[in-house]
Amino acid sequence: MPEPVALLSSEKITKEDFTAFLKALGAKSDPDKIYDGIISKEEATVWLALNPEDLLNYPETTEEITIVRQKLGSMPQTRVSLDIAKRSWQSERLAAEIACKFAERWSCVVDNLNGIDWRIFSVQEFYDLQTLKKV
Amino acid sequence: MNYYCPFDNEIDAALQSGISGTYLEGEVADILRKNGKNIVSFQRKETNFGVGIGDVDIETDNAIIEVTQQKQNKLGQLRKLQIDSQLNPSGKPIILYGPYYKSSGVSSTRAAGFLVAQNFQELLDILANL
Repeated sequence: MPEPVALLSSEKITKEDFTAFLKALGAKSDPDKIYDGIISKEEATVWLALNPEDLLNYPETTEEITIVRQKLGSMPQTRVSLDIAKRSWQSERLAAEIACKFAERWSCVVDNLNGIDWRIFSVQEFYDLQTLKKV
Repeated sequence: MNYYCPFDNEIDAALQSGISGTYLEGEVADILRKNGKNIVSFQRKETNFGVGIGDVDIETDNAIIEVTQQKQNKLGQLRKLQIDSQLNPSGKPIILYGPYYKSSGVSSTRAAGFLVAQNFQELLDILANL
């Protein structure tokens, strides 16, 4: 299954606003009702969820709280999971485009949630990283 | 030990990919094949009318193994694997293999009814007891 990254926003985003955002991006609904929307473009797919249950208490460790606050400027009020199809640079690029669209409306950072090399990026840094990837 | 796995080429390619997440999938599959587990799919992608449904990292006779190098936030995907009839038509149990998964995430994932392994021995023990 996909690997997730998280958009952490200092703004409190309502379900209605997030649904409108997804609709504007042409997201499809998830037939299994697990995600709030699925965005596909050619061979790329990204699944999105607003405040998924296993991110509700994130960040939680002292290290996470310190670094997230440092990067975001405050504790996140909203967490969005972007689940990116594995082994697909097209999906990683699509996720970066979605993050950019999200950042046009809400201030945020991108957390890679990686257990080996955990990093938090600005949206621009994340976009640059993903668009450097090739087949 | 002599063994045959229909996904030998794909597993070997994953081990040589140089991509940490893909390497981890190859590493897990390699351990399974060396321990005589029957791998029935590896890196299987499912789509519906061109739209991605998801993928199955490793599937054995009796389980689906989701391999991750993430530290948390896999519950939605595990639920998808559990209920999606295209990804998991026979309703096999789902095992999260997450060597870097946080202890709080391990607890909540187990509480949600999923099996979690954080090292190869735990994974082999779970598979042996299914």
